[in-house]
Amino acid sequence: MFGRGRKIAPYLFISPFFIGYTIFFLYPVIQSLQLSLYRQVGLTNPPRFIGFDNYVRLVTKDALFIKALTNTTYYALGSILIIVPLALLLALILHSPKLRFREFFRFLYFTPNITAGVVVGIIFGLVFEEQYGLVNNLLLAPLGIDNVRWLREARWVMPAIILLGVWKWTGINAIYFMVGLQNIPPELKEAARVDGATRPQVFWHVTLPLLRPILAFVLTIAIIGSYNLFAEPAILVGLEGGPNNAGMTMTMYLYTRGFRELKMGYASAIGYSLAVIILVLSVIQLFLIRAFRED
Amino acid sequence: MKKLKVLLLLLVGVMLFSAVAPVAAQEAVELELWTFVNTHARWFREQADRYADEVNADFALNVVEIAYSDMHDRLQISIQSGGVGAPDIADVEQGRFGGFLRGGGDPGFVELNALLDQGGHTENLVSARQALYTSMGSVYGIEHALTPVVLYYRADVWEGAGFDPQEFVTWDDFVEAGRAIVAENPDVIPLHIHNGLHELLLRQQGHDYFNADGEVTIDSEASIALMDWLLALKDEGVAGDPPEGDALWAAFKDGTLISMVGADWYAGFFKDNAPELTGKWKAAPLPAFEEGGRRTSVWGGTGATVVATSDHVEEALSFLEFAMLSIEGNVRRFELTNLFPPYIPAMDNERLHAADEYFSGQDLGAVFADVGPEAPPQWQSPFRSQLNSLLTAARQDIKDGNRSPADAFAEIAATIRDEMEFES
Repeated sequence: MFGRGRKIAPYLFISPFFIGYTIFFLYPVIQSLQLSLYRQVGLTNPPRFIGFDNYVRLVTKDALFIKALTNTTYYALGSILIIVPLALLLALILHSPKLRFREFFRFLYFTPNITAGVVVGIIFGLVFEEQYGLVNNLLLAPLGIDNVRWLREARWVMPAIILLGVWKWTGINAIYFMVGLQNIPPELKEAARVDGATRPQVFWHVTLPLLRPILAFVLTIAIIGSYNLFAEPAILVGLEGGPNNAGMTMTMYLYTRGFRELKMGYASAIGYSLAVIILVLSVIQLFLIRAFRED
Repeated sequence: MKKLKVLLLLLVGVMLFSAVAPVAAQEAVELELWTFVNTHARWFREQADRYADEVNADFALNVVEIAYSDMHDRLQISIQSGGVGAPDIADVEQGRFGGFLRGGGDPGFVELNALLDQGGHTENLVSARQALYTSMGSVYGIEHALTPVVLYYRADVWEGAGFDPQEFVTWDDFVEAGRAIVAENPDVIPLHIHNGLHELLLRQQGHDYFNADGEVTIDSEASIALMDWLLALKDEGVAGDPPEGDALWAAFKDGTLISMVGADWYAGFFKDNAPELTGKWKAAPLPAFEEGGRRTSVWGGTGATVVATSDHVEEALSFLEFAMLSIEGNVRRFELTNLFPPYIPAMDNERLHAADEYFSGQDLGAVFADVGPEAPPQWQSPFRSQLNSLLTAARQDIKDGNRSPADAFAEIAATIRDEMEFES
């Protein structure tokens, strides 16, 4: 009796997680894989098996899917190329012991990250507004730059969303880098300085290589986050992604197909394609980072 | 061991409690209603109080306001999941109603034919409006508004420039006056090409994005020619492409926009969003495309539906009949929201003809009643909400001249036709 209780009890205690995981994660994941092989349209219609038709249509006939994929990749590249160096720079500044009010600045840069995406979307809608918005009136007008039609001209939509992303995500990434910097033993840098290395040399040859694990983490999170981008652009330019679908991301596309047009089978196929894309990109990225370590 | 047992018991207790917690006995009937329009919410709350006073003292209505897209998306999802979290009554906008019919299935609403026929209400409702919520003979919604489209205009500006829009007979008259006003003041936009303008003017001409047989007709000659005409007006400065959303109201308030081609519900929007313009606006019948032509159109509209999974279908139907199929309810709705009744017995009620302070003391009801009988029909299609999505994406490119209307409309129509085929 005692022995049996001892054996079951631990499992019972950890069971809520696994029950929740199975019901809310595993089941939908498997169910949607099955659904992606069916045609299911409408609220109450039974699904019909069509094999890989959804996937074939997605890749060969669906220009909007390709568009959403391109848009999302544009966002991912744009935001990562800006956010990562910026966050690193910010981390170096915030890490500096000479900086006054360090804690205050750390808090300040972190706040955008805990602001709900919907709120951010609404506020940036006002910020980027063409005639009355802040960016055009307070930043560009004093420089003599004409009003930019941020949310109404296709080519400006994604830059606006990227700027939003930079505002929202740079802070948290800076904090990741800062943690990394704090974990670098000061002796290493001191040793390098003693050997006559200049500050940039210390950064390139000591600090940066030691930040590699953090860099891998930041990039992986950024790639996943970029391809899952939804709330901010959906609020900022609408679920269709604004003019010419320029701001339509993969998840917005999935959402409109599934929940607007009620094509659950098709939406599931989009979801699985998205999962595969993220997986492949993450693996490539990890491989690249590790490849650096070889030399 | 004892500790372990206590902990286990606690664990089981927590699980049990979380399973049974929502069960609670309820004496009074409380219904939940979802709407996306605050003017509707206001009216529904008042009608619920009246219903509790006059019919069922135990009745309570929880009116929940949710933003347009969100509300429709959530409603669809809750119906699709068998009614989890669904309301008892829901407002469904006509542009989104078609989406519930997608795939040809049951939309998840209670069929209202029996209620409408038995109460003798069918003849009392404008059939062209009810058609929006009807599929294969089954009626699923009751329309809130006749949605007659009129020309709202800044009386001080137009009259100050020596023009009386009440006298305009054709769009040519409007354009001519608009040119004169712009010549004096180039910052002003006489005609605002809003997102619904092309569609509603197309209906004024007797066409639409879908025809009576459900075929997509957005790429018709009339549709392309109309958009070309609007773009030509934009090029010469008579029409403009002002911002949407909050900034739209800023443009109304700062005097950039001096007219609005809008339906009855827009009157309520003005009062809610630009109260400081009280006394400056008036409304006139739409100018016709040719002399003797139709002086109005229809735009928008929302139907109240009863969700089939509701536990209180009878009570919900009874409340809707009380509020939406009565003279008092319809008249009161006009008083609160300016929605002109689609309910024929209420149309000649004198309370629809009170002087409206916002509209310069004008009898707004008379303008709607005057053009109402000419209101054109509008056809529902399961593909309308998708067409609207495609159009939303293409609209700015069309307005900016990056794509010709012919080209953009042809592509949208082709996409919809392809979808129709894929799903058939």
